[in-house]
Amino acid sequence: MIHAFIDLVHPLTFVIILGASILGVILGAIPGLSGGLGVALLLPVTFGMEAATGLAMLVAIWVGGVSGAMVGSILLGIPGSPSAIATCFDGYPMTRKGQAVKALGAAITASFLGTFFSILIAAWLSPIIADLALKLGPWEYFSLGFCAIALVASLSRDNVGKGMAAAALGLLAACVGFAPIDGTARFSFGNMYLSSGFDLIAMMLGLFALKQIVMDFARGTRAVQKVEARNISGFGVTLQEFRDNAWNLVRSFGIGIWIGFLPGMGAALSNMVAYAQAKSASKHPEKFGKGCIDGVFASEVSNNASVGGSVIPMIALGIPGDGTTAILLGGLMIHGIQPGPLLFTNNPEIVYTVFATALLSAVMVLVVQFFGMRLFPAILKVPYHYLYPPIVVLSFVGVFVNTGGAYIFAMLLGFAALGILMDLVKLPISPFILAFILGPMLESNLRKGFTYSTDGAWAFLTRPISAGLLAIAVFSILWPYLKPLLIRRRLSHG
Amino acid sequence: MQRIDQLTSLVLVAVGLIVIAMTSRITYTSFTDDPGPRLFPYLGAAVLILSGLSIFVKACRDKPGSAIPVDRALMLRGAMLFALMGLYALAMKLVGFYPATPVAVFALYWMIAGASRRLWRGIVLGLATTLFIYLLFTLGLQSYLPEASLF
Repeated sequence: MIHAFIDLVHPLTFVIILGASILGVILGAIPGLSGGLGVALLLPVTFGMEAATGLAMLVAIWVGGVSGAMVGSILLGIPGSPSAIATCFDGYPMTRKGQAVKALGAAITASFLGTFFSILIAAWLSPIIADLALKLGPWEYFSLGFCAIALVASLSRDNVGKGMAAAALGLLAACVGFAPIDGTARFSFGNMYLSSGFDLIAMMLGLFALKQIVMDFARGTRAVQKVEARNISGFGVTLQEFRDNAWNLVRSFGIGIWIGFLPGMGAALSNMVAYAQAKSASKHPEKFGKGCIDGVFASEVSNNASVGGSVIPMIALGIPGDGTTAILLGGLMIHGIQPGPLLFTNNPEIVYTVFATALLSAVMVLVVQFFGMRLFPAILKVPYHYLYPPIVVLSFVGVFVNTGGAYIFAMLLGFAALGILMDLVKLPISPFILAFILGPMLESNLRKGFTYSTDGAWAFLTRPISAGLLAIAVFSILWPYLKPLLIRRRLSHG
Repeated sequence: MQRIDQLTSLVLVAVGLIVIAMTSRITYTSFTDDPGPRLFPYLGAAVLILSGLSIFVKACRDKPGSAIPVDRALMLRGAMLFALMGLYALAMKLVGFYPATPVAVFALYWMIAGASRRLWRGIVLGLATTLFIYLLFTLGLQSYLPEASLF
């Protein structure tokens, strides 16, 4: 870890991390964009860098993005990303009451606490989990991947079928190209460009960046709101307010790190769960939604704690905790680094670079946001017509640089069209991407599981951890269907 | 969403059936106990069909009248921007990155800015974006940018 810190304080690396942290904060603050988009956009830029430096840049954008998302929530009532939706509930009313300084200060300090301590815990826990993970076989890995996909798919609570359909489409998309183990060509129709499968970066940029731009434009470019930036000075939060919220901060931190740890459930979910818990446990729940600082603390400490939480499965198991860690995982693989339990043995410098960068970025973001509190409103005034054209160009150039062929433009546009279509019919994108990324790992372990055991498919059900994970997966899929039946039955009996 | 969900579910089931048909035609050489490359696509298609049926059943149970009307103006705006992106991709393939990018950025700016567009601002944005990409990718990272296939 110390060596990783020493490497990071190299002037060029330090400047890259500082710049990436600022860029992350800016992208996080702009509604519709996010640090995750920044990670996807700048992934191709890392091709020419050393793996550790490139990864440090991506991690810094991610940390900055999660933290910066609160700016739009508090000043405009528009969340910069889904991770800051709950921050709107009380942050914006505080701004309208003239307490923007207090709301920003609470959010900035809570963000710092969430990121910093969750990363420290991740650094401590990840090697332990990696040791345990080495004892797992292909049966457990298949079941873990399947469980992750099922958990993400089941988040579409109003229609789990749609979540599972999106996941199934992702699994089928992962089947295009050569099969793992025996290299049989599938669904490539003799096309040499399809024989190596779909490109992950084209998928990411198509589904996130281009789709977002087309949908925003189609729905009408939002008018830029006037933002009042005067009277902002210091953090504006008293020590007493921290003391009053000590338990709220600890509970929200715990919720954030746990939800971040569960594959596929990131900051977008944790901020709302923590907010709901803070409100239900509060002595004055009636103040929530009207400008209560407790709500801002809960939302911001939890969404940033999810950063550390989602690093644990990414580093220890090679399973992304959320959409952004899925892209980071892609970044590792592009640099020839295989995430998973052996990462601690094969590439320890990469592991500690991730932790050290996240810690350094948390401190940098704290300083940048402290001094940038007066500038944030000006950044939010940049109209979309200046932002979106360069993002389109960066997306096209990014996928070209990755593959070196113009055919990739068709793939990029194809995924943008798929993203728009999925948005229109309300098929969630997260299970699709998670299934696509986990697809080859799932298939490889599924086939190995059959080959290594004389019991065939039974081995997946007779090994306790594998069976437990499959049970969780099945339960999470069936629960939304069973719950109404149980409630109806209870009502009819009572 | 009722009708859209019903239609979506039918498309998903159809895709699942097509994948099963295509998977059955995959030829491979099997070795000890390996289930082969057909198993995983079969599993994916089965999940897709079951999910499609589940969406269909739920859509049939939903109250009618919850359908979202199709906004044609919205779809046209989206289609226009998407078509412009398609033209940009084609232009980069035919004439290369340098002539295509400033024009495309200008056109995107012109379309997105709407009433607040200004000619010189669009030109500056187009040139600045092209310069930035050149500095970042060509000079900074020594990467190749798309070259013309026409000449």
